[in-house]
Amino acid sequence: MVDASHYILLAGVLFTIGVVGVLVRRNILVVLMALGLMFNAAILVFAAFGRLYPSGEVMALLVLAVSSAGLGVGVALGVLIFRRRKTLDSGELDQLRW
Amino acid sequence: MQEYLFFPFAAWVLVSALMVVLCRQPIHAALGFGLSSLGTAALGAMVEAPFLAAAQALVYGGTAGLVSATLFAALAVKGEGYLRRVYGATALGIAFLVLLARYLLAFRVGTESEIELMPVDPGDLLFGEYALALYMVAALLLAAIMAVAVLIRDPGSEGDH
Repeated sequence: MVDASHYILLAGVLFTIGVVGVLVRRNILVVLMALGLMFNAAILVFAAFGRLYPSGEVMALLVLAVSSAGLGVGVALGVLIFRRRKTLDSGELDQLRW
Repeated sequence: MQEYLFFPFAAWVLVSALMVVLCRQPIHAALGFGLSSLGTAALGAMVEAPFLAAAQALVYGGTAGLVSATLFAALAVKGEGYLRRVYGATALGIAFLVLLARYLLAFRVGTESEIELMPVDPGDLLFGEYALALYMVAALLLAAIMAVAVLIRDPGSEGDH
């Protein structure tokens, strides 16, 4: 019997993979995609709880909208950084280091 | 039915998520991200949230396509064989969207008596109890669209003013 705990466990693993991707990868767009995996995990948890509480699906929709806005701005920033620095490597962005 | 479908889709989501982290080529990572999002959308459909699943497939499918297009523009990938594969993947994506649109068009809500038996409609909650959150998210999306338009503006046009 598949219940909410299975979905939460899956979302936890997915979130962990996203965290590892954000910490390990240096390409800005790949980091954004790893961030998207973490949003996916959050949406999965809300959708699973949508069975028990009606507001879960609404929350998932709101998270989806907010994450798409964030990812869109992130991709635009990536384009801007590549246009100016000719690289997508986050390790090269060290001008704010002090 | 759900017992048989959950584990294959869960494996699909996890393997494609691992692709995002482990693949060296960003374009393969984008493919993994798109597949993972589609798998998550399928899991959302399994928990009786078809609208959320369709929205996620369209939004994240679009995001994966946008990231792929950005990567192609940035990396200026060349080569006939590679482009042929890209065209094939694009055709597959369009076919998937057509199938999804067909599913959405064929989706029937049910008779009025069945609708009354349904639990609380997410649309009622969204435009009722969560209306303020909806308006805030709408304002955020508008701000994001304006930010993207400003950020990716052609730098050559700045000197015209």
